[in-house]
Amino acid sequence: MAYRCTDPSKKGKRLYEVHCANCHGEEGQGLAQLYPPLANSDYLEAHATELPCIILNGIEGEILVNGVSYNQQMLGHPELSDAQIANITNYVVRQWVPSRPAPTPKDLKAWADGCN
Amino acid sequence: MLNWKLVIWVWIVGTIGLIGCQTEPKELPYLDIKTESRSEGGKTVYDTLVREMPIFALHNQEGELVDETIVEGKVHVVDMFFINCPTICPIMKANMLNVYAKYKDNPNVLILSHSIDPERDTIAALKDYADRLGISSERWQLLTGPMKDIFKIAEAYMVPAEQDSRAPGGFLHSGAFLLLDQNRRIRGIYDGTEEGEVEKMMRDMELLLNAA
Repeated sequence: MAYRCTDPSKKGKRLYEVHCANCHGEEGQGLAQLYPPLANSDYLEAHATELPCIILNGIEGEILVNGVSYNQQMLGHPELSDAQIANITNYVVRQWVPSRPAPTPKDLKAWADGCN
Repeated sequence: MLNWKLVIWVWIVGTIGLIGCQTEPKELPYLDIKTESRSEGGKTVYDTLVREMPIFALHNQEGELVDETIVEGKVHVVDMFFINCPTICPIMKANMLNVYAKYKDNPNVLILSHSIDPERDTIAALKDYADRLGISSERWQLLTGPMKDIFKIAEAYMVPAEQDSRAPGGFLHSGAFLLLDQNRRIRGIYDGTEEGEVEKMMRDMELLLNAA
């Protein structure tokens, strides 16, 4: 049986489970009004291109997700490599932003270049 | 004609059922036991003692000063956390929310979550956190107090916690949930990050509640 260990979305899933799922949930469901959902999230849909920067630098301050206020600081992940962040971004967008075309490697690089 | 397949099947299921009954204890053990010696009539006698958890005086999310009398006669679950914990706390809270949901109308149950980050987790911050979790202090208390008191309590509950600037969020602590009975004695320790362990804890809570 062929098993593609290098499938980027599989890598992204594993990385997501290790670095993100504790708060945002395995299914992207979030937790109460503490950690916002990624699945069916109008905020994620509108801010998908900022994902690499949010993963790298974290995010602070109040945000509205589907009309609900969230205000829990998310720490950044400076320990992750550019490739790992790209894989997580790819997974999250493919998984939970169906309205968007799957990001190309070029998109992912352009989005990441936007952050300091 | 005997249906041997069926006979074997019944036998296997029956055996599993029996093993199941034997492994599920009717009474939970006491987990914090110590032995003390004393002399009686020139002989050394050893007593086995079950330690009660220490007394405490901490503030909850409503700003009320609470002490050990709040758990009197209640089955209670204890853990350590801090609001800005990026690692195990969210999953512990997700699992504890299931416990809360099951017992939120049961006056014989109380959950105590101790913040190990008193500097940032002020009463106002704990109140906001509780509101966002959607929990009431009636059944789930978020507690804060001087750091040395909290760490002393963590030690007594056998739940290690320490400040560590290298750890994500600044603190390290165990993800354990402790189950205590109506007399403040530890009856179970579970991994609060594992859904299956927390389900086991809820079954054990039933044993304690039914024994009362």
